[in-house]
Amino acid sequence: MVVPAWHVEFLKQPLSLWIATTNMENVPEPAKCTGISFDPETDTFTCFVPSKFTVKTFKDLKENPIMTLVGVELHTYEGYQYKGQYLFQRECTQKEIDYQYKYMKEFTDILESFGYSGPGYWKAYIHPPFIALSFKATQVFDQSPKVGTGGEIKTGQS
Amino acid sequence: MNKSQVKLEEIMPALQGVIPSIVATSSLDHIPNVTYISQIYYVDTNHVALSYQFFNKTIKNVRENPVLVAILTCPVHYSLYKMTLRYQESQTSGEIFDNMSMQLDALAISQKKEHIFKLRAADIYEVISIIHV
Repeated sequence: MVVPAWHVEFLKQPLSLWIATTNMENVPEPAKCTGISFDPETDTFTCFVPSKFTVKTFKDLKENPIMTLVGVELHTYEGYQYKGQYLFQRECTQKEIDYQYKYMKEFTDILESFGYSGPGYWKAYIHPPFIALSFKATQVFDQSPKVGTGGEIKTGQS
Repeated sequence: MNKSQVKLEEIMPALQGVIPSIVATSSLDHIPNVTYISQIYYVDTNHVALSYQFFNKTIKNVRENPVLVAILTCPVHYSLYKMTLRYQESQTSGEIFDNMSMQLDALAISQKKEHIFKLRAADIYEVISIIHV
C-alpha cells in the first residue's frame, strides 16, 4: 500500500480538496473537488468534480493519464498530495451526490466559522452534474506548510 | 486579450489575500502539482507576484516549466477566476518584496503562524490570460 493507514481517518474530514492534471505541453489544470472516496485496499481515490470544471481535465487525461489530489485540513493547514494513474470517469451515483452535499455543508460550516460566506462558496463550487474520476495513488507527499515540506511519505512513516 | 478575458484590474478584490488561491504547475515530465498559495500580489497591468515561502514542488516546477495556472476567488461575489501565468524572475529585495513581506507578516500575526508566512522571495509572473470560470 502506498497511502499510509493513518491517512484513512485524515481523509474522512471535510478537507479542502483540489485535483490537477496537465497536458503534454505541460500546461496544468486545477479543478475543485467536491468530495472524495478512498479505498485503502487498492489505494484508489474517486474524486467528485462538478462537470463544469472538467473540460480541460478530460482532454489532459486523454493525453496524459496522471492525476494529483491535494487535501488540506482547514484549521491546521495539515495537507497531503496524492499522485497517481488515472483509471476511469463516470457519472456520480445518487448516493455520491448526496454525500457531496453533506461534505460541502460541513466544509462551508468551517469556512463560515472563519468569517467567510457559506452561500458564497456554494455558489462558487456547487454546479451539478458531478463527475467521478478515479485514480490509483502511486506517491504521497507531505504538503503541510513548514520548512522542508514537499517530502515523499513512504508507507510505515507516521 | 480577447473579449472573453478579464483584465487584472477587474479582479482586484481577489488579489487581497482574503481567500487563499490555488496554483497548479507541471514538471517537464508531465507530472501535475497543486497547492495553496498565501498571496498573489498585483504588480502592474500585466504582472503579478506570488509569494515564495518554501522551496517546494511548485518552485521546482516553475523553474523548469514556467507556466502556472491559478484559481482565485473573489471574496465579495465568490466568483472564480482562472489565471494563466508565466514565471519571469525572483526578487529578494525591493518595493514589491517589502510590500509582500509586510502583508504576509500581517497574515501571520492574524493567524498566529509566523513560521509559515516568512517570505523568501517575490516571484514575478507575466499574466497570459484571465477567464471567469
